[in-house]
Amino acid sequence: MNKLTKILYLASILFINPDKNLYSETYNLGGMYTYHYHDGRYADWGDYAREAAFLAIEEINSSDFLGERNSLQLLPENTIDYHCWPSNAAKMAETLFQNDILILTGADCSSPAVEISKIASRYKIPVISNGANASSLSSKEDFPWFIRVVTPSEEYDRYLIELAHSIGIKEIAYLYTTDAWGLGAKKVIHDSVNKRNILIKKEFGFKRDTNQETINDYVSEIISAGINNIVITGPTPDTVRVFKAIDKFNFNKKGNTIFATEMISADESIDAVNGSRGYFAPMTFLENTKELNQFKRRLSSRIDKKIDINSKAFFYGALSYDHIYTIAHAINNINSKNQMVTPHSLMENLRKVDFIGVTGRVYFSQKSNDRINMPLQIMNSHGFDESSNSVKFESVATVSPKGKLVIDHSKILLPGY
Amino acid sequence: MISFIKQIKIYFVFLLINFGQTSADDYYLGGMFTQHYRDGAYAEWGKYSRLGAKIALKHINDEDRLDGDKILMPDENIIDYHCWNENVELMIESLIRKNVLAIIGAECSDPAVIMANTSSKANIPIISYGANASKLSNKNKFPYFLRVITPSEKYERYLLDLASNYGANKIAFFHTTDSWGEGAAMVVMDAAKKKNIRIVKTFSFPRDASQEHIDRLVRELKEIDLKHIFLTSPTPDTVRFFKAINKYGFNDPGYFIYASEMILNNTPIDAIEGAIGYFSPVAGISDSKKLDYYIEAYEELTGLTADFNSANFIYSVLSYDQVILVSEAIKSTKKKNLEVTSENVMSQLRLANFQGASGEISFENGSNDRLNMPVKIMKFLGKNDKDQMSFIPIASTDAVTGRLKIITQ
Repeated sequence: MNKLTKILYLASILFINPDKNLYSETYNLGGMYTYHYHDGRYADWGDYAREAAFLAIEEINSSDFLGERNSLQLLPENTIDYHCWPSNAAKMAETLFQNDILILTGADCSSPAVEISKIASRYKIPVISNGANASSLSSKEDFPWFIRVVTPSEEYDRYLIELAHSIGIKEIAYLYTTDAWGLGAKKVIHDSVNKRNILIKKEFGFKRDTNQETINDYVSEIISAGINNIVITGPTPDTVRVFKAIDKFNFNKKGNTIFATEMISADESIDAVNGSRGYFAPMTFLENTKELNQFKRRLSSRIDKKIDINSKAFFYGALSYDHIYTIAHAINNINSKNQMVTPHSLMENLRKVDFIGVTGRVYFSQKSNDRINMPLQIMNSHGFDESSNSVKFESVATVSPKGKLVIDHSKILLPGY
Repeated sequence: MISFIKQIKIYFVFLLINFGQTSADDYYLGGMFTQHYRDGAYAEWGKYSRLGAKIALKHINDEDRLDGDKILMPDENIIDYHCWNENVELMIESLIRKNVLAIIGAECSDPAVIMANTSSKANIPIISYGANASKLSNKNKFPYFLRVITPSEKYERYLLDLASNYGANKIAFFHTTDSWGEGAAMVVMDAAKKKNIRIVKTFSFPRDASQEHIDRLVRELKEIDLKHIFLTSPTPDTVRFFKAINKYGFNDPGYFIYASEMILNNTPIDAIEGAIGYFSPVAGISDSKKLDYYIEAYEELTGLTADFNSANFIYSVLSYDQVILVSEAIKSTKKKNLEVTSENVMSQLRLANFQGASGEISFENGSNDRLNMPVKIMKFLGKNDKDQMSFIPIASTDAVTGRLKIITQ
């Protein structure tokens, strides 16, 4: 090619695509988000998470956050609804890895995230999660290509036992699922009750998606044994089945308490809402900042829905928004050092990211795959709210910087009240 | 001050105005549409079929075709079931709990059988634009199922007609062992018998069999001298089959390959190499004013030129028609002064007779199948300069005799 031809060639590229710099890059992301659960129920939190990811990408690109007109791209063909389910999650992730993605986003459910992270190690492509909090995923040795913008389960679930202890509970019945996440949570609950001298009087481990009849039998057995306090660590659909059983057998009454690791969705069925009234669940604490409110407005306008800032869906949306910005910050770090953006350099730099996101300061432990010092709170269900036609949650406790639970007793609504 | 008589008059006028107005109803649909296969491969046709349904809803509601009533299908009601059986029953039950009037999509045969069984228990119609397993024809077994396509036997048997035209007297036959694959196998065996074509070797394998497994089966062809090779399987398995064909060099002059599915735009290059020149049947769509009207909206929304020879476009048209079918059934239910319930709508669906974008839509008495749907046989030419799969029609069925006519050799 002579010099003139070269100039004409370069000019023609610029003419065809004036929005792009000659050297601009498009970084392809993959996404595994839950839109419906495995049983076909709509997962509003997964919908919010996906939409928040798209919102973050749009903002990053329109503000030229990555400079040089570099951009992020999450194509519909690279965004899979994996139903928060482990079977075939690895195969789906593998298909995305074969599509030359730089990083896989979403992976919001723990058991599938374990499968996804294993295959990511084989392809050496990073996975960043906005919600998978199984303890086992903390290990950098076992999952060197995984990172998450949440803290692990033990950081959440142990505060449920702290709360139980602080309101004088001495014995509990414990229900947990036997998937990877459920077993991790079980260990945390066992450790915590031992520390606080709380007795697990009855315990039931069951597979994810166990049928309603079996769950009914467990709850009926708990009631027959005269136990007044139930702790549940299971994914949302299983937690909902426990609440349905609680409603069926009228366990939700004065004198009883319920603790669960998952917040139920805003549009849950009425029997589950009634069964769960007054229960406690841990969640990320979101400080009411200008940025958070701006994000809320933008997401609300994007999905054309009113948003409750205390809903599970909004928390997941905010975490998802931040997990995309984590990628953007890591890419900027790489580019600022004039290095190539590859899956390898991205993984290295993800671990070094430190910025203030809508969910607070986002930075990571150098010894694990976990976000550190993530603010937490305990939410309390105040039951069905007619004005918003959804479940209403109130924040009743926060975790102080020293890790102490600060409870606002005036806001607590217990079952039967 | 208004007199008492005047007040009474005003009251009656007000009453009459309100009496003349009936409240508008919203009818909700559920959707079972595939966006990704179970292995995460993108099902591009799923995108276009959802688009077809969306255009139909827009036409129905914007043009007030139901006199104030509307048909709605919120995104929350559209489940990506990955063209797979697992948990389909629970997914359908979840949609039924949302009080949907009918469920559309259901494009993959095996899961559609489960959907049809589940919906029959709740008396909710399932309308499919793509599930063509023979067994779904049975009205007694699946009283709440209906499809805007003809069954498998009307498609696959034309592949045998074509093979006969090319002088085949013996073939090798590959098929999957799901209910659709088994149904298609029966059709191929029956049609081969009628055409005096001998199936020398049959290879069966489960859906989503590994590449290694399919490679092993295809390699066996080396030991038998058969030039006509048939395959009836879903698209992901078809792609693996073509990869194997390419690997073992069976796509050479002298070979004829026939498969029931058209491959998609994101097909890997080794599968494309293996597939060049193969034949596949598809619903035939002819020019009409209704189709032109659909194309206008399709091109506006996609920015693409409608390609009559692409599977994506054909599926989008069929998906459009399945929604129009629901609106026609609601219309006739209302016309007969019946309440718009799932049961009444199901009865009216079977009686439908209208001009859709894909041609005349009416149903066989006693079955769940669309009547007189034309079929075309497409030949695959490879990837075009727009990176899309290029097919051309080489044969079509005669509307009167139902016989296959070769358009071009």
